[in-house]
Amino acid sequence: MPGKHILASFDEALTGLKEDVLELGVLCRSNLSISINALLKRELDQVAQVLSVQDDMISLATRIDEDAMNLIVRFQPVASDLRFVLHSMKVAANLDRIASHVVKIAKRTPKILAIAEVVEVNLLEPLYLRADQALGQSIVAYSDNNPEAVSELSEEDNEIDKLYKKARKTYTSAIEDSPEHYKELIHLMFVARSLERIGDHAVHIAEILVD
Amino acid sequence: MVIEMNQETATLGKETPDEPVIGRIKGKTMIECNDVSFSYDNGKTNTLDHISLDIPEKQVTAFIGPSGCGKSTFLRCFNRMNDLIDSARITSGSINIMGQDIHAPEVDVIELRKQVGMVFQKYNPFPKSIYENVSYGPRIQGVRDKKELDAIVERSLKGAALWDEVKDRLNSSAFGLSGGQQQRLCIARAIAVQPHVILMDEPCSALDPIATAKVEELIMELREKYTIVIVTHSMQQASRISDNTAFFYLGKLIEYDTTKTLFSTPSQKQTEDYISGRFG
Amino acid sequence: MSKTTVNGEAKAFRKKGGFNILGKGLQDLIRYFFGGNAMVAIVVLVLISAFLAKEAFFFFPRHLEELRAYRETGQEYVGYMDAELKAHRKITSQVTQAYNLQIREAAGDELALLEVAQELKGIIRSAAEDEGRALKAAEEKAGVLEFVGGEALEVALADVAAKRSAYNEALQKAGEGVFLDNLERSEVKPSAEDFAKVKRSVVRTLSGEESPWLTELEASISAKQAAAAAKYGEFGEAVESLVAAQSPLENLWSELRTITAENRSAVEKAQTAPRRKKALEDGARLTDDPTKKAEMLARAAAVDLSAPNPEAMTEAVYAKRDEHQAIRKQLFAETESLLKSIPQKVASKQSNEILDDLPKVAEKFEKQFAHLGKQAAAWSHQDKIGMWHSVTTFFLGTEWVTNSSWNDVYGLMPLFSGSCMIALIAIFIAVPFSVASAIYVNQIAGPREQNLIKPTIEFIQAIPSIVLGFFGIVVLGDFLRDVSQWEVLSWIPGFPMQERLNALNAGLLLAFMSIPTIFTLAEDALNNVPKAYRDASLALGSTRLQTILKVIVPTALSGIVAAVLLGFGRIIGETMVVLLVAGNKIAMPEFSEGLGILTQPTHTMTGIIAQETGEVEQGSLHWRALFMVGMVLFTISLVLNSIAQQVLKRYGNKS
Repeated sequence: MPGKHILASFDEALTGLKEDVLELGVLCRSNLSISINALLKRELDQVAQVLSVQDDMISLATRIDEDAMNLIVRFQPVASDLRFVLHSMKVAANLDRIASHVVKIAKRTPKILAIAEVVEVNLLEPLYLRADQALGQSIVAYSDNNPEAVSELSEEDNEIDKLYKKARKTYTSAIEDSPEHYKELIHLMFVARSLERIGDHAVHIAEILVD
Repeated sequence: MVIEMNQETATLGKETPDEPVIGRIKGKTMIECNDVSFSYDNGKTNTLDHISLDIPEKQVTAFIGPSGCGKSTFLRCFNRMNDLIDSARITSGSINIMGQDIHAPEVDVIELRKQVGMVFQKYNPFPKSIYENVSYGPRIQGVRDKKELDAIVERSLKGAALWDEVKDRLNSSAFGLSGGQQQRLCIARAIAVQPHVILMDEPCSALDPIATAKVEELIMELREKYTIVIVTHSMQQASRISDNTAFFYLGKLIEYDTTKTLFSTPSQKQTEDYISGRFG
Repeated sequence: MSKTTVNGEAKAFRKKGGFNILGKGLQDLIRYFFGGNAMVAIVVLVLISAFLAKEAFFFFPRHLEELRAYRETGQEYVGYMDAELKAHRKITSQVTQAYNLQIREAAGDELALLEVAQELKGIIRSAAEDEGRALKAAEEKAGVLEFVGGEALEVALADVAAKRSAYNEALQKAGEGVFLDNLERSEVKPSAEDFAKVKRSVVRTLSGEESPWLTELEASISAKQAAAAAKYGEFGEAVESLVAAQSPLENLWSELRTITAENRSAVEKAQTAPRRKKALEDGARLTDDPTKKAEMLARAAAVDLSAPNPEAMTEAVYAKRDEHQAIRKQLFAETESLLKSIPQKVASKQSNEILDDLPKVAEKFEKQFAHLGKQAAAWSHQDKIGMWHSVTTFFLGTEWVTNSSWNDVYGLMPLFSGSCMIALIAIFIAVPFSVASAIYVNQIAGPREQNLIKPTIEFIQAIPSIVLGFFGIVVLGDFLRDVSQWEVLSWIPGFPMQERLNALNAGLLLAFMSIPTIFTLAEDALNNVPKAYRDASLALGSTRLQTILKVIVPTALSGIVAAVLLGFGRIIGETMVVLLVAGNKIAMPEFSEGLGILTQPTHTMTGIIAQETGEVEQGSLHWRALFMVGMVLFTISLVLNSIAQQVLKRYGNKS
């Protein structure tokens, strides 16, 4: 946002909105990292931490919506200001979806850890790294208001999709080979799927910035 | 005066980079301004600086800009009300209305003003009755027949959305009306002479929100018959009711485009700053 | 500053100390001071009004007494006789004038030549003035030396002779140097031959010789006039008889007049008796000298307090009433028959003009005479006069006669109509000028013109009215009279003017004086019209003229009307100018002349007060009458001002 508004409260409101969205993004990323690490290192107590902040993430998303609406009513923004507010709302909606996926992963992790470890769990790591990178890039793109990021992120998403397909194939054949581990393998497939959705949402975020 | 049909699309300004006006306005041209400069002190300083734009007919065009940017001055050029000030004059360029240069020596200013009407910021009905106010214009043009005048008064008051409210008290004083009604009376008075153009200089600035809304609605209706040019301080009003908007700053035309474009994706940073409330 | 007391209650909004007397602060005292000043003005105004009213009020009872006295002494009856005589005299004077004109004109040409001779005499004599004077000096010297005799006398006489011949020479030369063109006064220009004759005769006469031509001329004049007299013998006789017919009535009138005048002074003496008695008694009390005291007391006792008896007073009148009627009838009959023998047309044009008018005058005379006769027949000294009569006689009376030895009459109408005439003239001239100027200055003129015209017009207010009056007497009067003599303007009623000082003169000056008042207020009213109306009107495509006439002037109309009313009030109250310039003739304007009355001299209410205040006795009826006139003026001003205020209040403030 170039230049200061004459009305200082207008600037403060816009800044606050942006910070909230960024905060939500950071929360998503860090909680995702904690969940996956808990899964890979088989540490249960970390999961509890994620579950404790899930309400915070939801209320933050709600608050972002309310603030955005107040901003519109109060300041009747036009042009780039209006675009920014609308973007923030849509980005927050996507981050909210990402957050719910993170929570799903966190909820699934204890169930996975209850069963014996399977070697195929390692396939999740590269998928997670890619997804996390995409998420990080999308948040930066939002922060910088950079519509160019969409092309890079599309490529990332393609890679994520490839990794996901490979993982799915591997898991499906593993279930055929060793049917007694089917429970764990199915859970892992769902986790992989969540990671893939997260990648999609990251691309959506970048797409929002292009109008 | 003969209405000359100009180009279908009125273009504005040139495409050179330092010319600030771009955008396509559609419609037949009613008022054409070419490189108009204006001064209040015999040319020593220019209040308006090389303004070129075309105002299309039967649309609402809004002039916005900070105080003192020259938009009211520019508006008053169209009906040559600035002639009343001794030292004021056009220092360059020309203004053509319906194809006729309005500063040509053969032009009678009185005739011009019959075709280009004006509504002022502070409503100013005459201290006469409602009927006499509206019939003033036709009367001075020579209409004497009472029936004809009655018809004109009724038509004008209906056109100003005031008829139902005053039809039973046409002979009462105009000052008995509320502020919004008085302003609509002034509009009725202006349209009684059936001008081609109606100039409005901040017509709602003295009115409360409901009266403002009524006048705005009236403007939207009048659009079908008259070309309206409105100067306004309220950007929300400009964005609500105008088809095209011109942004002025310090006597220069910064941007002129359709309202939709100017308010959502203005091309000039100055415009963006002004409409977003950012300056400095 | 603690906001709470020790108890903790809020001690808010109390005044902190300050000036204080009797519980009233400084603000209050200032208010009383200003209010008091305003009150003083109002109180003074009320006192003045009350004083005027008091003095004027007692006018009517006293007036009533006078009116009663007029009737009870029989003076009223004599007044009828007086009117009869006046009416008859109008006829006799007209016929006499016609006759004399005719006789005179019979020798018209000759008389013209005589006039030329007179003028030439003056011219030639002044041309030879020096020689004439030298001659006179020499003659005087000789006259003195006559007693001495001897040689000196001879020398002197020789000198006289020499001077005489020098004088005669000078006269001759002067005579040769005069031409027809030099004649200024004579209306008729004689022929060249006649002119030469006249010159020669004049020179001769001035030289001390006889001029046969002149003698011949004079003889010719007498002859022609005698012939005319013979020709119009009947006419002349009729005129004589008419005049003679008046005598019986005149004699009776004179007789009764003396009697009733005595009656009146007796009445007045009785009126002042109580005061005289009291004055003597007071004087007796105050003096120490015993003889004087006794004398005064005796005189006081001798004062007759009784009022004269009306019956006794009017006895003589009733006694002569029948005689009066008889004389009247005879006079009337004689007049009728004599008028018949007046020729309707004679040779002289001027006489004919008068004779043409005669039937009308005769008719008027008949009517008046008959009316007066009826009044005289019906007169009774006992007829009651009510207070209402006193009032109407004052307000509607058509005569104002004061300091008369016969009877004072106080009638307001001549003065009121004079004031009104002058005021109307002034307003008719001033209003278009001022209002048009105001419109021009306010709406049309540029700033430079405005700055020139406005202060100039407003300066007129500063001119002292005496200066304007002086201007009116010295300059305007002559100018107007000369202009009125122009042929081109003779169609204007009242032109050519006879008098320099008349209503028109005063009206013009007053118009000039009131222009600034009306102009300033009207211009103010126009200025107060909001500019927005002008803008709106122009934006609708009206011309400047239409805007001015249809929007701006109607809006400012109430202010303009108020301005005119105030100007009118000022005009009515103006004294100095009318006193000097209006002509001071107290008479009802002769409405028969139509608009011509404007060029007649007239008097005004303000003028009469200024003029007669010096000569009036305090407390007398005349004194009160003047107060009454002042009261009328006061009331007129009050009414005009309040109307102006009402107009402004009701129709003003259109923004």
